[in-house]
Amino acid sequence: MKKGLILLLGVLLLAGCGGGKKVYRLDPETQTDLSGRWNDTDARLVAQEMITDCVARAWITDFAARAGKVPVVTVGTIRNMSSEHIDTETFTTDFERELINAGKVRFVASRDQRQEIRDERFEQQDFASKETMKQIRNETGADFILLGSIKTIADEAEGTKVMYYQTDLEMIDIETTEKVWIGTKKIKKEISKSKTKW
Amino acid sequence: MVDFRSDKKFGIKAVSIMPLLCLWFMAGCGMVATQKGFYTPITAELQQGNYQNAAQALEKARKKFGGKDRFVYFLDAGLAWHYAGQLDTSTARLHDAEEAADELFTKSISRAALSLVLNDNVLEYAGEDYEILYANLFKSLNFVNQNNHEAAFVEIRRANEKLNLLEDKYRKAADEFNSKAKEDKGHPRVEYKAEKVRFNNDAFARYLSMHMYAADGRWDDARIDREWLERAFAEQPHIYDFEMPLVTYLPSDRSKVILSVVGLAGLAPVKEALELRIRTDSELDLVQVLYIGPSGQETEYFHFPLAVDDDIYLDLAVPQFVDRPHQVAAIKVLADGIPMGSLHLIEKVGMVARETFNAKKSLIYLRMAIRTLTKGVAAYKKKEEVKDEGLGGWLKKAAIDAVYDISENADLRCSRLLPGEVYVGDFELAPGTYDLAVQFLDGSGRVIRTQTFPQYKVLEKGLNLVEAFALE
Repeated sequence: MKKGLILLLGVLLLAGCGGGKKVYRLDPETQTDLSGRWNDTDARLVAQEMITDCVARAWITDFAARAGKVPVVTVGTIRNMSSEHIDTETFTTDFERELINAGKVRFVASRDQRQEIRDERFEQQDFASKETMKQIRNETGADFILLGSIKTIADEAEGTKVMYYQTDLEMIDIETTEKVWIGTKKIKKEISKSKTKW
Repeated sequence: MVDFRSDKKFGIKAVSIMPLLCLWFMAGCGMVATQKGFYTPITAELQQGNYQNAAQALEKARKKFGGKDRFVYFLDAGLAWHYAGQLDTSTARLHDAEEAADELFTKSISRAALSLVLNDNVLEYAGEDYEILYANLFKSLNFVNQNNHEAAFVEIRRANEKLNLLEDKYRKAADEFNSKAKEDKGHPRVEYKAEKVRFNNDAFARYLSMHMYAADGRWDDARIDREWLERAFAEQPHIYDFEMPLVTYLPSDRSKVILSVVGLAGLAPVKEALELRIRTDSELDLVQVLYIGPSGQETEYFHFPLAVDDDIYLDLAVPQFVDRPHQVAAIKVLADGIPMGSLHLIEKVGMVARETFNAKKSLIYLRMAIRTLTKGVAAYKKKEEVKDEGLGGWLKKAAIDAVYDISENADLRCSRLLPGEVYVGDFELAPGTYDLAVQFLDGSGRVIRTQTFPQYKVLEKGLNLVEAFALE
């Protein structure tokens, strides 16, 4: 009886035990998978593959040869059609940065950003000095728009879940609606959950 | 201070009192008994329409849930904040509920061991499937109310993924029980046959999804969801035992658009203890679980064969769902004071709850009966060992009974703030701005609550969805 009681109390204590909080700084390039959901590693993988593919394709050089300038691109809607809340800006920003830095493409602000900038410009017409006021109707029109989507397929059984993510990006000529580049990145993850713990 | 060790007069050793004190302490902190009394004022506030007070009261009661019951806290807090209109807080809590359910998939061995000697209340509560499903649906409604349709859609997809997993999950649970029962020679050999989950399609989820696709201009997807909705009713008459409401995502008059109205009425059934009695028959080697009626008559609930040495009676409390009737008999919608029509029932949350609970109910009941029997027989034998016929002996026996009684509690944990019924209606309106009103009427036609949406903009393109509730 006594041993049983001690054992019972021991188990109770163990059940109630918890650890303190610890914080470590990690290299942003480190692959971290905690919950199994879409994370920074997935966003980085998508951005890397899409950038490499997009830059290597002929649409940039074809446009430059035809128009005599580097293409101007705006980022349109990257639709989240998955079963996870995914911030698509994490990889579209990488995408913009790499293409701008490579000097192959120029980017203009996206629709939401443009609206904010226009509001600022309109305010300048009333409140800024003539010397510093920016002109209206002087924006750079984009030649191409980047549209895309993320879709997921989930399968789960017995504590193991397989998530399949497909990210599709399309570069579309705004004047002709011609699709000049399509990039696809597929990621498949297996997430196992332990059935037991102490 | 009383020193139990030196209390020779009654012959009670500290070791006999300690488990009793431990159990009393554990019962007080919700370790061996479900704490639910504090919900009474919270549900009363909700039923009076004081949603903010209810949400704040629930937050104040946060500590009562502890870590093992955090899923219930997160879900109910998410629901309370939803009713209070604090949608970001609601979404955060509901997200935490879903996370907790996911984390609690991993079962604690130490708690499982404890539950063998105590009861299921010591286990971490990972939520019933319908509760996790409704966490997604309410998150979706939060996002709809915030005009974030993409995020609302994500939640609908998550809900649909969960529905697809239900059937497989319960078949697996039964297989595990049977294989463990065969391995464990100390336990009675009782075969358990899985009850099929007959719920894998949720009409309300399909309704929301249908309108979201339609608002997005994805007509084929909207049509498919409409077909799934019809199938939910056709293939699950045990859940949808009423006529399917007339729903549409396409207006008959192309100059008009659809205004969808969702009405939530009452509160869903909750788990309460059903008092049963176990009777062992040593001649027949049989264990009977009996229901004791109001006038004391015994009716067999179920039985199983088991070799037993003694004929004894034991009390057993098992969880069962109990309805919480509401006053709402009809819900009417008015636009600029003009009656548009009534809402129609699309979901009885209690039916969904019962169906998913029923799939594992027999497993829970059987496990509880075996545990009660094991503990009861041990207590019976322990009492027989007590030789002292005096007060000391009586106290020892009383202590044994108390330890047994306190440790025997049904696991009654469940969400207590889910709505009871969901009503929907789709109305054709010309795009424009309207003063909308949703009236909840009781059985005598008296308006018991009116929720207004002044200057509501019915969009030409996009989702026009209004949600109202009366939890009386």
